[in-house]
Amino acid sequence: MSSVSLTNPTNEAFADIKEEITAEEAADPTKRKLGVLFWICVGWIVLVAFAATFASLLPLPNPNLGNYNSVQNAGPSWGHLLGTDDLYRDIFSRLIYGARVSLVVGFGGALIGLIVGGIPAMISAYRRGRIDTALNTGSYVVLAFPAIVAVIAIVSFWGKSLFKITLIIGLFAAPLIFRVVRASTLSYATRDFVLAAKALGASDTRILSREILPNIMPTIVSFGLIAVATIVVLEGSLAFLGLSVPPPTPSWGNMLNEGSSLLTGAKGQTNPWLVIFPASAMFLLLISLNVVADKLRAYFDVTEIKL
Amino acid sequence: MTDTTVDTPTVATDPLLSVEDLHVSFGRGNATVQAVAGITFSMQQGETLGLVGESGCGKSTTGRAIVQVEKATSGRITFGETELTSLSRGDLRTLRTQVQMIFQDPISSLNPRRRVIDIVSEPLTIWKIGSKEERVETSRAMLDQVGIDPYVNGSRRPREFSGGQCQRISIARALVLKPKLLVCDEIVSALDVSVQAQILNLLQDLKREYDLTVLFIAHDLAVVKNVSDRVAVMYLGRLCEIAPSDLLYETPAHHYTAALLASAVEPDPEAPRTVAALTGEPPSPINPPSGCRFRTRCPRAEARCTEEVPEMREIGPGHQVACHFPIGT
Amino acid sequence: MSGRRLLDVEDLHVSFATSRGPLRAVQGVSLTLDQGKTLGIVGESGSGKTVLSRAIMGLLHRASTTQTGSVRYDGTEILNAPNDDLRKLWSTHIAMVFQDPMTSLNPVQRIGNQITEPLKIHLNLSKGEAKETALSLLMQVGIPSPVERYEAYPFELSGGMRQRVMIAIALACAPRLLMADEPTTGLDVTVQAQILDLLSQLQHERDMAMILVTHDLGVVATRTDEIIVMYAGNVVERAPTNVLFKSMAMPYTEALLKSTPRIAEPSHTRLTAIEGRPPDLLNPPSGCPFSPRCPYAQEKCHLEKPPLVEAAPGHSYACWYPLTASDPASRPSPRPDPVQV
Repeated sequence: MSSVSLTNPTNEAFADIKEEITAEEAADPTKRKLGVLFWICVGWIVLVAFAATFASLLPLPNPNLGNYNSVQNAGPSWGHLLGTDDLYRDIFSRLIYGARVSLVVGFGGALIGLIVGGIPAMISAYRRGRIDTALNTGSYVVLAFPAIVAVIAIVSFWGKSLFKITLIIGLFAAPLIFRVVRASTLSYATRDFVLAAKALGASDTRILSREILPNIMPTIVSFGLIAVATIVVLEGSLAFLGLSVPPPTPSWGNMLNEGSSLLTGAKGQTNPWLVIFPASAMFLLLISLNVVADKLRAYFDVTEIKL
Repeated sequence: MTDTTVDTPTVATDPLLSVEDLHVSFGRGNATVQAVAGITFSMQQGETLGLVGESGCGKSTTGRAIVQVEKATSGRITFGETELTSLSRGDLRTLRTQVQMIFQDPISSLNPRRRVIDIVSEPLTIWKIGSKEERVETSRAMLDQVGIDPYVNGSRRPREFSGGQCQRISIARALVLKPKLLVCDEIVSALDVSVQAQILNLLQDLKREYDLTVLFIAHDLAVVKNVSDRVAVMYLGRLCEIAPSDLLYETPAHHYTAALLASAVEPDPEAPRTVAALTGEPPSPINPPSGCRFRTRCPRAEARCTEEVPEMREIGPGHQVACHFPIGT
Repeated sequence: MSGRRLLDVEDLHVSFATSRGPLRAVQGVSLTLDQGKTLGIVGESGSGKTVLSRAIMGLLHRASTTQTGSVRYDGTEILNAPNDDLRKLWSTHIAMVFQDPMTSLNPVQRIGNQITEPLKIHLNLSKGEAKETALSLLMQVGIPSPVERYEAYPFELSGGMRQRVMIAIALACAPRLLMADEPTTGLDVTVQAQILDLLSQLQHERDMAMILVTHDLGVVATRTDEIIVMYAGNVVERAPTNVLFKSMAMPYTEALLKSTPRIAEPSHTRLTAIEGRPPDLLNPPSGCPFSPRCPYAQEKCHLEKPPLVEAAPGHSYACWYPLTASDPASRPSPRPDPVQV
């Protein structure tokens, strides 16, 4: 703590006690660590994304074609790290390629939702007026609609492809994202610093991008990650119902679908690995997304001023 | 210790700001609130006009209407030679550089996620004044002038500062464009007494340095008197009285002004014990009393006050009051 | 006025456990209060006055605070007493009026219920009796149409009204000691006068003792018998009201007064602001806590902390070079005002 220097008036600071503690805390890195768990989860997500993106460069057996030299429904072994399924395909490889579907639908859907829902939300919450009322009511209406039913119906009707599924899910995620972003924007749009920016002559675009967006970013990121997790599950459910990407393209959901019949021995054999691995992969990804979202939220909350 | 180098307002020149019959209403239909119900006043270049009144009187709304962050329902606001209320959106934006505002809550006036140096140079960036280096230089100089060391504190964020320091940063931001008119909306109400004194002194110094005209909105009578050349009193959306500060406080003509003065507490045990000069609550702004809005609590109210809205009239040099029966008659 | 000693606080220390060490919010405060008298506790934010008032009442969270010293109410030690014992005192003997009625009143409960609650719990009144008492209280605190207001929610009332409800709740069980923590901060000037008048009137009627905690010297000037000035957790001056304003001993008290604008002064009077900042309560510096900011500070002030001495009957202060020193030569002259940037 610098002592007050009377000969140099520009060093005067009139910090109140509470603020001083907050300032010390803010400067002290031990106070705001994200934690080891956070970084492990980030690592996992990055690893999965990396593997999925560069899957074709990795030395993986073909996920779609079975290698009839292998053993059918084998458990994990050195040749096949996670075993094979009943069509002689390598589970590990299918898992990694399947990650692509989950990640594309998850992050893609969330991104579409953010653009379609989030951007109008910011503008509408800032401008208020009749458009805001209309959009707000509209979001209630869409949210009241059972999304899964609608998605199932549309997919059945329109056709199944990665792009279509991502688009549909994204559009149905939009109203929820709209509400979250709108609420967040509202809480900042009424603050004095936004008014001050207006009084300074800043254009609306500038205010939205420079003043409001940086403040709602933590909420968006946190909620966005939760949205990703939810969409991944949704895709899994769709795949389980046979409504996701058509076979032989692997997705965790349809791996679960195919594997479920082998759990009970309906086809005469049992291979629990077919279910365990995709389920575990999905579980780990979801947990990681949730942990990262939660830690980020807590991290950014702490840095808000505490009075 | 009286500051003898006060700028006395120049006489008989065109006023810098002229407000005529300003009305600002909120809401629709039955739930319309007339926050400002027809006020008229003007300000000369270089003067400080204090605007005082209790909560709900419309003083903040007036300030915001002048800065054009609140839309006036009717009336005229003339700044220099330009009539603000009739400007297009683009021209209005340009005029914003001339009229600036500082708000009450020092913390919420600053974007918590931006660095202080960026906050202060934001106006220059918006208006593309100077090169990037020049903007930083100007901002640094401004921060230094308000008592914040730009080299130590420039990269910090508002949460690391106290209320008084945040208010200084807001002042720096408002002045970096060298505006002609500064509207201060309760800028010291949220600060401790000792910090308040620093900010008030700072304001006096900066006003002299930049030849500012200041509209000082507050509810604390002593603070307003200390800062202002003239003081205007508002009640429930209307102006009650305007007079030079010393005169107003010594010989108030409006009964509301007298009640305010009688209710104020002074740190002097010998002072006459303040009496609750006003009973009851102010009436609802949705359904204000007819005629003079103060008549429901005025000790001097008569039938005429119910029927006729009192007009502002001059009862002495620079002293105007809106009352049918001012004190002393 | 019986003049009985109601409250006796001796050497009260309160510190909060924070991650960076103990924060010493109240350091060695002693005070007394007799029945029917009013004590004013004055200080700026961070001075410890609110912590002090809560500590006296026993409202601080036990787990994270360390409280030492003695707080005796009517002879009984209440510091660190178990909550069950304190509950017998709260509302019936000691009551508090809090600062912000909007957050201190339950927003989802009607005000009538909030007033009858202590009546039913502490005085065991029946529902009908409690309602009658509550209506009578509403009238006493000056709320018009009490029967209608009884059913109102806090948000339907104005700030002044809510504060009156707070007072009614505090007075419901006829306490002997009323603690008012910034009761008028945030209220309009005219409403403030009404509330202060009300408090004085009720105090007089019920022969209550009152502690008025505030940052506003104006509020305490004409309504208190004795004033304590707090700075950085310490009592720096204590005197009967008249004596304090007439012959204050502490440079801080003087500085506080000089930096307050006064209606009586002509406009554009230059205020003497206090430079510097309050000290860090986590690591209080050695010496007088005000010394870095004191215009009269000498070497000794920075090194040794002056004790609180009772120099004149009833007038105590903690200063090596008080303003009222009998030998004017020993008092150092103030440094000239530094240039205000």
